Amino acid sequence: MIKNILLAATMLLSILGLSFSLSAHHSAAAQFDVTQEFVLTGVLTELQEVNPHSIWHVDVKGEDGKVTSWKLEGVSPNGLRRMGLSIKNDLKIGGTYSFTCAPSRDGSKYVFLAIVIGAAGRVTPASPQTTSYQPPAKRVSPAAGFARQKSSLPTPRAAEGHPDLTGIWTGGFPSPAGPYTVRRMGTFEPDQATMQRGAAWNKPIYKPEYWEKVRSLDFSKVDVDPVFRCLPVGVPRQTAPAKIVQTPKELVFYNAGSTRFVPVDGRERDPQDADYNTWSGIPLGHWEGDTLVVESVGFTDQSWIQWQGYFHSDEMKVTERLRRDGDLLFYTFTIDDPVVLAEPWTSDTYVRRLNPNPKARLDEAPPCIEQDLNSIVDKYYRG
Amino acid sequence: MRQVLLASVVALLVGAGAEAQQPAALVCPPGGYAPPMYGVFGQNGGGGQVSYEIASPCIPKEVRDAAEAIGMGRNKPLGVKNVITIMFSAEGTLAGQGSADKLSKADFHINYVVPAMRMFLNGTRADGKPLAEIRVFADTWAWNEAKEGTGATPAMAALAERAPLIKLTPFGALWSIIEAEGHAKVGTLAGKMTLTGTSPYDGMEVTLALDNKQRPESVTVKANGHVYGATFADYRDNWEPAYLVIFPSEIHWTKDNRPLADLKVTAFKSNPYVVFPVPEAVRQKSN
Repeated sequence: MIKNILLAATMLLSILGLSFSLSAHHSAAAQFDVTQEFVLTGVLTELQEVNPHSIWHVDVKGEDGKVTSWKLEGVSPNGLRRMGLSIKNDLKIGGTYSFTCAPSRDGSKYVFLAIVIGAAGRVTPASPQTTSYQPPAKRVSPAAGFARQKSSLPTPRAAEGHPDLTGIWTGGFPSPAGPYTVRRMGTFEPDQATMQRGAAWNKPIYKPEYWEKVRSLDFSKVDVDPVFRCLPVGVPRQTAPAKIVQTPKELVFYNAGSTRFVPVDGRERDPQDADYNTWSGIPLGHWEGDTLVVESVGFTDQSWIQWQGYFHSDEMKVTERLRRDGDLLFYTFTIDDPVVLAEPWTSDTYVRRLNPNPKARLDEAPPCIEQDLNSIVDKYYRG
Repeated sequence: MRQVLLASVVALLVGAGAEAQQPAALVCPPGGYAPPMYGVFGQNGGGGQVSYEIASPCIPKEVRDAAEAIGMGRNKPLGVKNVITIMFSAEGTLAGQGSADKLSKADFHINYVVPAMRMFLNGTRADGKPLAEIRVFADTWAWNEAKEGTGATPAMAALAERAPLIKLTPFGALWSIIEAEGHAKVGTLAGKMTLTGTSPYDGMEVTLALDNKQRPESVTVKANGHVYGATFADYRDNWEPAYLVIFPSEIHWTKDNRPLADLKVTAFKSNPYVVFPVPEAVRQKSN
């Protein structure tokens, strides 16, 4: 059965939304030539779960009528489910789909799955705008611009009056630029790496004596990154919670591999909290109007603030702010680390959307097993 | 464990309660500028999705092609502002007092969105004395540093001559034309395609001539009553891991048709960590 592009889009959006809930690892460029793309159209004969991946078995009929079997490596089934994609209901074994893939470096028919595209249906572009527009007085970063959006839905409130942050919060937003088309040929990892770097307008100001260290960590091989070595992502690097459960006295924040219990019962900070060396910190929350403020201390210095080599000391204090507007969650964090930073640093605002599926769930993250370092072709490929 | 992140493009309209962004400007509005549109892509490293600016529909196709040619253009929907900082090292000469100073090692750190530049100049002056200076500007401030990021002394008089220099790089020149959006002009000069535009953020008129691969070959910048020029040759793509951002190995700068710098590039990095906090001493003395 041919699925429509809307479904494929959902998958793509969900794939995007999924990405931040996974442990960060290095690139697939070791095994696949991710600078190349080609499209396979064929029948999905099997979808295998081989954590942390899924293996899509596809039979492709050639022009001579001969059927060739391919295997496509894709995101894990847990990942698909977190996206709201039901393998049972939304994919049909025996259905025909088009797959954009990156070829294997060894020429085999085991390739890297980039995009699944259905065939029927087109999405109508949004209406053109006709009124004049003038640029703002100062440049606006993409993150700041993106965070200016508003929801058209009301914000539900908990019994005690605060906004209810409960829900599964995911990425994936509709494009304002019209129908998606196949990505530019010849790029994948390079796009990803350059785009991540090109989006990082907002940089923490380290003390000058640490500038070269940050660059060194950024320019080093992938395995300097603690996350690559299967260490926890930590706070605040994991950014907004993937799921929040709110009660009057406590909120539970869940990200893959991390569950935090944030008390909002007015308790005092235990002075000994700062002596801990944790990856997620010891949180304490309170409301400032409609904004939840979570202050955390007691961090290990092994984690990074972000992937670019933004290290920190164990005296780091993290203040997170969460605000809900309808079905949007806005999240920022501020790092106060007088040991390494010249001044406190406030991140970009991360925006998440509420997963509207009332039956959506987050499943256990697959175990992290570092096994690919020796297979990576260019270990300096970062981003 | 390898990345499982797949696509890095924004997908289709799916219909939801949130007005995630304003309706798209798929045609260029009458004023020649379009409200920004943002796409998102997934991010490795735990941070979640990241937004980028989708290229304005007002930007001419020729400008987009040039952006893609040197690595500023990325993804679909296309974004063209994907190089925001660079650092490069070079040796050569730099105009000084009288004759040119010799640069044994010069480092240039540039941030195109602040905008800012830090030049580490090491070598020998024309009179034979050692040259070891760090010259900085950021936004509307200029100063010198004794060491990177420290020991600042104000140099506001130098702001006017330092600020245009970032336009004398392929990315800096193209930033101006990209930001000009629908006001950019496409032309031809001596058989070469030219792009001319003025960024609304600095008022410097930039004219780029492209080579046969749509890469900037020469630049003219009108700023502060002067005409700056630059030529770029021998683009290379092997300065760093395969990010497909290319940079010339030969750069020549002029000011009012007189030599300003002759640079042989020895290293280049795209989008590195370079920051330009304005020292308090500079702010206070400049007030």
